[in-house]
Amino acid sequence: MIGAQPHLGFYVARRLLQAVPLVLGVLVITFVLIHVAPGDPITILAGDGGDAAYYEEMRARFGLDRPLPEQLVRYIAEVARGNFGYSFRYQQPVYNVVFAHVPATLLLMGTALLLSTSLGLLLGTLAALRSRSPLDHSITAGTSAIDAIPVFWLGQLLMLAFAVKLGVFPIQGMRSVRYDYTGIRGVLDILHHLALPALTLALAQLALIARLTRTSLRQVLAEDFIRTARAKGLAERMVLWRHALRNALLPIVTVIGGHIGVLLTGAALTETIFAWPGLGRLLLDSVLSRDYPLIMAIFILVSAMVVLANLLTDLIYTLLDPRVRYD
Amino acid sequence: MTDLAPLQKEQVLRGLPQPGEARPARRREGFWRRFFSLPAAVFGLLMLLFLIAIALSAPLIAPGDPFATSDDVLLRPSAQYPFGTDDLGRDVFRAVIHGARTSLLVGLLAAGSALALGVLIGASAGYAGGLLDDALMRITEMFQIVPRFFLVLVIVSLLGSNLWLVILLLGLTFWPGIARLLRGQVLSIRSRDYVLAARAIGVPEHTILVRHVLPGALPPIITQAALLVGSAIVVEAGLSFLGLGDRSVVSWGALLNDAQQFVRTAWWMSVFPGLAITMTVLTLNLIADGINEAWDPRLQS
Repeated sequence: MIGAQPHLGFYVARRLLQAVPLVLGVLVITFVLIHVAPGDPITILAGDGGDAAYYEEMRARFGLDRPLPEQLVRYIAEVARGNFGYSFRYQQPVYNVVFAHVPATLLLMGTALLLSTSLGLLLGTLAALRSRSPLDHSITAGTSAIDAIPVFWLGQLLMLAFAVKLGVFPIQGMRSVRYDYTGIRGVLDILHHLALPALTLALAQLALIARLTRTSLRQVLAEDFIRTARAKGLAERMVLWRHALRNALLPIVTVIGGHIGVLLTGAALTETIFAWPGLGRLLLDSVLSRDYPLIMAIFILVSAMVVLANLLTDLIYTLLDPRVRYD
Repeated sequence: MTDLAPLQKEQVLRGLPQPGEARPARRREGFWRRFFSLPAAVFGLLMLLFLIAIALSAPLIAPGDPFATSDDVLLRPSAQYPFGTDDLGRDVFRAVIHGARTSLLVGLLAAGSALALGVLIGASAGYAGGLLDDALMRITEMFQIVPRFFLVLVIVSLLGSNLWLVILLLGLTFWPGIARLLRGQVLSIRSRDYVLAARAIGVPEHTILVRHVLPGALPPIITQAALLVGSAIVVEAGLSFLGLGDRSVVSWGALLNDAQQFVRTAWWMSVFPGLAITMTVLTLNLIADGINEAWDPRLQS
C-alpha cells in the first residue's frame, strides 16, 4: 500500500529534516547543562592528586580549555561526522561503547513490546467482547492494579518469586558466567536470562494496551460497517479479525509509538535491577562517573530513537489505514 | 498526517479529553453527590486521608530516629518489628512510616507547582497565541523526545541530590501536560457565542477566564494533577532506587535500593516499601478516576 503512494521518499526525508532542529536542541541543552554544572571532569580524567600543570595539559588535550561556545561548535561538527568523542571511563571511542550496548536494550524492549502487545490485545479483546461481565471487570481491575506498581518494584517482586523462591530463572545478567555456551545453547541461555526482565517491562505496559484495546474495539464494534458486515452474513470471527480489530489497531499503534520514551525509561530501571547490559545501565554508569561524552551520546541516541519511532508509527498507520495520506 | 495528535497515557487509561477536545462547563451540580456514590472513589479518598494522617503522625506511630541502627540485623517480621529489620538493624516499619512524609511532600508540592505553572502558561498561551504559543508547543515536543526521567536523573546527578531540587525539577518538567490541556480549552471556548456575548457586554477578560473557561477545563486538569502526584512519587522513588535520591530523608525508593542487595535473604526489605508506593499510587489513581467519572458520567458508558 505504501508503494501506491508516490511521495513516500519525500515524506520521510521531510520528517527527518524536521527532526534535526529538535535533536540539535536536545544536544545544545544537554551540552550547556553539563558544562555549567559544578564539578570538573578533569578530576575524573586525571585523578584527584595531579598537580596544576598536569591538569592544564589534560585540559588542553581534551579541548576543555576552550571557551564554551567554541567547544559546542566543535562538538556539533564532530557529531555531524559521526565522531562522538572519547569515553573518559571506558577509555574507548564513545561510538564503540554505546553501540556495544544497543543490542541488549533493543532485545529487551522488543521482547517486552511483543509480550505486552499480544497479551494486551488478548485481554482487551476479551474485555470488549464480554463487556460489563465479571471477566471484563476483573481484567480492568487486574490491569489497573499492575499499572500502579512501579517498574523497579515489579522487577524485584518477580525476581523474588521466580528467581529466589522458585529458582526457575536466573537472578541477574544476560549470560551464564560459569558456562561458555555457544550456538543454539547460547541463544537459549540468553532467552532464559531475558525472561524476567522482559516480563517486568511488558507488565509495566500491559494496562495501557489492554485498556486501549478495550475502548477502541468497543467503539469500532458499534460502527455501521460492523453492522453491515454482520448483516451480510459474515462469520463473527471474520467480522472481528478482518473488520473490527484492524480498525481498532490504529489508536493502539499511535499510543505505542508515542510511548517509546516511557519504554526506554522502564528499560533503564529494569536493566538496573537485572544487571542487563543495555543502554539504561550505561546511562546510569556514565552519570555516576560523570563521563560527559558518553552522557551526551546516549541523549542524542535516545532522542533520535524517539524521533524514528514516531516516524515509523506514522508509516505503520498508513499501512493499516490506506485512507491516511501523508501531506 | 497532522491530525494524528499523540494520545497520552492519561487520556487512554482515564478517558481524559484529547488535545483540542473541550468539554462544556456543565454538570457541575451534583458533582460531590456523584463522587460519593462511587465506592472506588470514596475508598481512594479515605485511603488518601489515612496516608496523610500517617505522614503527619509518623513520630507518634513509629517513634524514634528512622536511621537509628541496632544489633538486630536482618530479622524477619515479628511482633517487635512488624516489617522486620534491614542489614544495619534499622526498623523497616519505622522507615516505611516516615517515608510517607517524604513521598507525600514530594508528590503534593511537585504536582502543586506543576499545576500552578501549567495553568498560568497554558492560559496565557491560549489567549496570547503567537510566540508564547509556539514556545509552549516546542517545549512540549522537546519533552516528548527526551524522557523526563532521564533529564531529571542527569540534572540531579550533576547538581547533587537534594529533596527540594528534586521537587523543583519535577514541577518544571511536569507542567506541559496541564498547560496543553488548558490551552486547548481556551482555544475552543474563547470564540463560543456566550463568551463573545460576555465580551460584547464588557465583561473583563480575566473574569471570562475564571467564570467560563477555567470551570470547563478544571476536571481534566484536577484529574491530571492527581495523577501527577502519583507520578512525582514514583519518579522520586525511582531516583532514590538508583541511589540518586536525597540520603538525608527516608525514601521508599531508597529502601528498595537497600533491599536489592538482600533480595535472596530478606524479602521483607523489598515487599513493604514497594507495597507502600503501590498503595499510594493506586489511591491517587482511584481518586483521579472518581473525579473524572463524577464530572462526566457519560465517559464510563
